[in-house]
Amino acid sequence: MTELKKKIHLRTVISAGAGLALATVSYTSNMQVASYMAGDSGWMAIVVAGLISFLAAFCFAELVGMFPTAAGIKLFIERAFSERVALVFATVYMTISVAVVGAETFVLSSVLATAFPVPRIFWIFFFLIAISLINIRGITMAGLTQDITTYTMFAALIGLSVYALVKNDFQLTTPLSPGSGMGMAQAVAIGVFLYLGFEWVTPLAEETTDFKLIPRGMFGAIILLGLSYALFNVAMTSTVSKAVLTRSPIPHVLFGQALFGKVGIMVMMVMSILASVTTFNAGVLTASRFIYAMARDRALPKVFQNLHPTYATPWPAILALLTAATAVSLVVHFTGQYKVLIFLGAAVECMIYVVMGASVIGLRKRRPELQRVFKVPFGWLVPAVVVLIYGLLFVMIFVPDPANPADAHAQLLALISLGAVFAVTIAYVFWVVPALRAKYEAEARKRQKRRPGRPAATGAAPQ
Amino acid sequence: MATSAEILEALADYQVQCNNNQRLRKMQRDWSKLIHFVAKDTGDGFTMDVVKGEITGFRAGLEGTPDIVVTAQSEDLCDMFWGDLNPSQKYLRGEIQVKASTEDVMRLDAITMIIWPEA
Repeated sequence: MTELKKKIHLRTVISAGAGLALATVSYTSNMQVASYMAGDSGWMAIVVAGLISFLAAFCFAELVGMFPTAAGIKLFIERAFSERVALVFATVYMTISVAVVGAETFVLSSVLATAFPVPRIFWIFFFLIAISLINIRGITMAGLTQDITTYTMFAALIGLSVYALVKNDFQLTTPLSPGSGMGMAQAVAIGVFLYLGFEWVTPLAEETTDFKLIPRGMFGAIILLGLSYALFNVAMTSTVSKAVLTRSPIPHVLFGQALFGKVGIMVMMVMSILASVTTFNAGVLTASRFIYAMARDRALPKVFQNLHPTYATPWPAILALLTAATAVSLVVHFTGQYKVLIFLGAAVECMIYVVMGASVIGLRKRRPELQRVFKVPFGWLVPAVVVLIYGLLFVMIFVPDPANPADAHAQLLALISLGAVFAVTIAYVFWVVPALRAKYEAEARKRQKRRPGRPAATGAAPQ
Repeated sequence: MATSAEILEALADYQVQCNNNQRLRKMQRDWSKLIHFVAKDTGDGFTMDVVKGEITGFRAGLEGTPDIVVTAQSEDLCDMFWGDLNPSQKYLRGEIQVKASTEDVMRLDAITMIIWPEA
């Protein structure tokens, strides 16, 4: 295959995956993991969640090797099952990802409201409008800038953790006793949320002719995330009371304050802004392109295929995302129910891994002749294990833990929200999409074909 | 199966349509790329130069190191250049493959979207 002018490097693939996963809400989720584990043993759940993420990464590697495209997840599911199934799962996945952007805004705004005497609601609007403008303007972080930002964040995270552990003389409470099996399982399930985003490097397969970079990048990102999160988890719970940390949406700020006072708050604020900007930008960029692609595929109204006349960015899609993320942030701001979104994010991540495992199995049955640049070893074992483990974790997310009764309400709300998103999406895909397609196909058929001599293909989807 | 001559004829029309569209020229004014088109069924290759949004030339054969590589069936390439095919639909189904950055994929699709929005 011909080389492209612009080459991406392994360090950029790792930084893209790890940078996407490391968000400000990750600190909150990190302490959520700790709340289900005994003493300072939260790190164990994070490591286990990382290890099973490797299995999911294997599945992604096989799928992206067959279809190296930014259309990624939707295309994998479509080829393994059907277009409707693909539309349902991809839309639910994207919708919840946008909701997580809303949660991220809430947590970041809480950090800034602690550092500066300005109401949180101001910061919510400030960040969402700023991110929308950046996206409409089409500004993206270049490879080297992204690498420097991401690796600086991770170096700071590891450095702070080691400093805290040394300062505490490694005085840890039961770091090797995880507590109840139920608590451990739920901690691992929430721990999956911490890795949300490593698989978003799959679209980079389109930017390189060296496919091996993608699986290596995913594995590198998981290792970097697991190491940093596990260290940070132990450092936080051994520095500040776990009861205090798990009740706060901004535990890392409390940790920074305990270490360095006001300077610590400012350090955590800067780290939060950097973490959020990378996550926000990539999240809005990917989701807005998904909406644009859906509109071009006649699965959404045509208004969403409009592009900015100067920057060629899908501005109606970006504004729609801004509206949705603002709504979620405001709901969280007024209700304080940020944990609902953590449970939702973890559940959807588990769901998509189950679907990816099933897609690997489905494609091996339906399309055995397809060339697989990378094939998961041991036959169906790994994808089957992925389906089973993540299926179990998906269920565990919604099972109330007697040791954490305070979370039962948030778990129930998350389950209801997920059910509602699924119901609306299924109704849309089965009733609205066919009607939209019929209307737009009819308009396209009226158009005079320009190619001389032969009838042209329409590119229409088989129904 | 479209012949190389048919694709070159389609490319000639595509060049005129693109270069005469002021809206497209404004949108792509900072966009300069070397694009390869590969017909996977015939093995034919084509090179297109885009300089500041203007298609300055195209030719049979793959020349230079490209910024973008588009691979598709020869029929799809031909229909796409004539504006009779919505490339996004083929792309989303994996029938048209593109090697490029996300921004370049968007800008490439924008050409068809602006010139033939009803396609």
